Amino acid sequence: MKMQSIWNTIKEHTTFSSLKGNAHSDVVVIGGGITGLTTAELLIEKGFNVILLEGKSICGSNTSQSTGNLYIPVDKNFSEIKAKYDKKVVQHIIDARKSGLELIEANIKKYSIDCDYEKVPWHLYAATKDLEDKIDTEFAAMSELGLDVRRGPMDNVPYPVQSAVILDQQAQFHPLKYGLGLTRGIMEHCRIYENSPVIHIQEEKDFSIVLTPFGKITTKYIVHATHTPKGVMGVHTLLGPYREYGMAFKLKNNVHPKGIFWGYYDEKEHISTRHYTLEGESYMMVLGGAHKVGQDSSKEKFKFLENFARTYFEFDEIDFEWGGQHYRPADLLPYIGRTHHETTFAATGFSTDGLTWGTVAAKIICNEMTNVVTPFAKTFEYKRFTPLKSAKNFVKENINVFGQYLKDLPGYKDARSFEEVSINEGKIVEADGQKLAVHRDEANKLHVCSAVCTHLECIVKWNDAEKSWDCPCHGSRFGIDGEILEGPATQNLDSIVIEGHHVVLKESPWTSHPQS
Amino acid sequence: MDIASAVLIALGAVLGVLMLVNLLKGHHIPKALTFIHGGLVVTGLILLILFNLNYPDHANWISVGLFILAAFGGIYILIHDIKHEKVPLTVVFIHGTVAVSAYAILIYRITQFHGST
Repeated sequence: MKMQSIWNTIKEHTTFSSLKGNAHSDVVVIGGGITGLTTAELLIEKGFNVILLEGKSICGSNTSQSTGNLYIPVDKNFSEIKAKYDKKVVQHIIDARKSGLELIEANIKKYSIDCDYEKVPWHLYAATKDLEDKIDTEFAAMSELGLDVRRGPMDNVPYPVQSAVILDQQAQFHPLKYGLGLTRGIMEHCRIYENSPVIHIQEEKDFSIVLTPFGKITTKYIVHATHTPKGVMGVHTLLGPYREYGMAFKLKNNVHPKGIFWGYYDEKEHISTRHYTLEGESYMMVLGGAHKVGQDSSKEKFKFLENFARTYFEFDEIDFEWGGQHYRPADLLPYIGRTHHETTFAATGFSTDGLTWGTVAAKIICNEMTNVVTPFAKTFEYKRFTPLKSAKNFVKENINVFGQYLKDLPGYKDARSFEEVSINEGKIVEADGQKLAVHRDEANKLHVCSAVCTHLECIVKWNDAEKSWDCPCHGSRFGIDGEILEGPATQNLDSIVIEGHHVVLKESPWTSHPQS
Repeated sequence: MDIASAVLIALGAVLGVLMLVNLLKGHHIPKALTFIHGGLVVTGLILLILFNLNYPDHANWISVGLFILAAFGGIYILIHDIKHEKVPLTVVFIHGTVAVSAYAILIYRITQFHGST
């Protein structure tokens, strides 16, 4: 089994250099996933001089960890959104997502991207009788909104289906192939840098400076296309960071129809399944097990998914396992557009619907930057103030964050010494009054760094399946040596030096010497 | 009420000293200490304000004013610390000095008030 997504099996990959030295541009797009690439593509079309910065590799993060499903419905069902908003808002969601799907299809044609794109039906089903109400309610809501939905049956699926709602003409693709195709389409007209994480942003009135470890860009506009904006921003208090898992395995006998399948097995979260043919072999993907980042065992979630898979499918072994991250917005709608700084734009809060929302966000941001009115943009305005609609989730998320802070007491630790950390484990150890993130790898080598998240100083938690240090507060994630993987943090975890009985923290060199 | 206020603020001050020791050692300041410290002194300050309103003849607004000034310093320190930035030591010492002065005045006024009743 490989800890990588099924999409990462393709041989093609990008090899852009990292940013070194000084540069100037009209726009710096931070993030080389679907949101960043689409934004760059649209802005280039409008004549902007664009630099795209990617912290690791193009589409190497959440875009290649997604399902590759493209659909109008949303993770939080329309019935739930309708209960909170008037019809106009819900119609804006539909219009926005339709336009996102159209833009993806147009890009595929424009750049002749071979990304296994095909139209498929979307299904939402209840696995048990007591959950049928959910489907009835959603069918009624979608019908009322004018969506051309129909009721089941769902044929040829191995799992129990009591009731289903189906929406035809949705789509699926290979997200990494699409992202790389888009990259090929824009690379002649856009400077793209990989392995160039943004470590500091300095916003001035008429320009901004973006720093990477070895480079500095002076730019007019900045677009945060990083799933959640980099640095400390108010919007982080309105987002719940969640981790979700996927696995793929080679089917032995089962036949599974094409399509998007979301199944309710309990009241809380749905499990998503998708069929995909890889190198002539029939693979099944199972995705689910969402939990707050850094607040549950990822191994347990994989076990849960495997149990589900083994109950309904015949296969020998799991070939791929991977995790992905999403951010749930307090008022159920994504935050897209101009931030509180006039020339900075951001897009976040896509929940699990990021491929389509990311494309919609690119369109809104490009229009806003060029003063073109997008009919539905106001609904998703980044700076909107919706206290009544946000209150419940805002309070829930921030009490949770406060609770995480309250765990940061002197003496709090998972293990008393490095010796208590077994092979493949990661534990918080307190030494010389410092909280240390300690991991022992398969070669019995210890990896030790500070356990204090560099974003807002929560104590990170060990992710046992993905082998990373995850921050339970705002979702920053770090590798075993403290290197940033994703999230709002811009600095690695502090490294440590043990001098006799003393532990000395060494800040990331990026922190100590910003090149401004 | 004024005694309860003094006790809570004293407990907060003990945590403040612990935090100062961590800071001077170059260690991370556990955020639970920060928030409990803040919670204790804010509760103490609210009690002191209530005491002042209930006993206007013996009101101690100087301490309240100084504690509020110290609180602003505390918020400034917290903002720097929680953003993983270097905490300005000058502000820390001004924060502590102002708070200790306010506390000294509070204790003096408590002994006067309870001595005369």
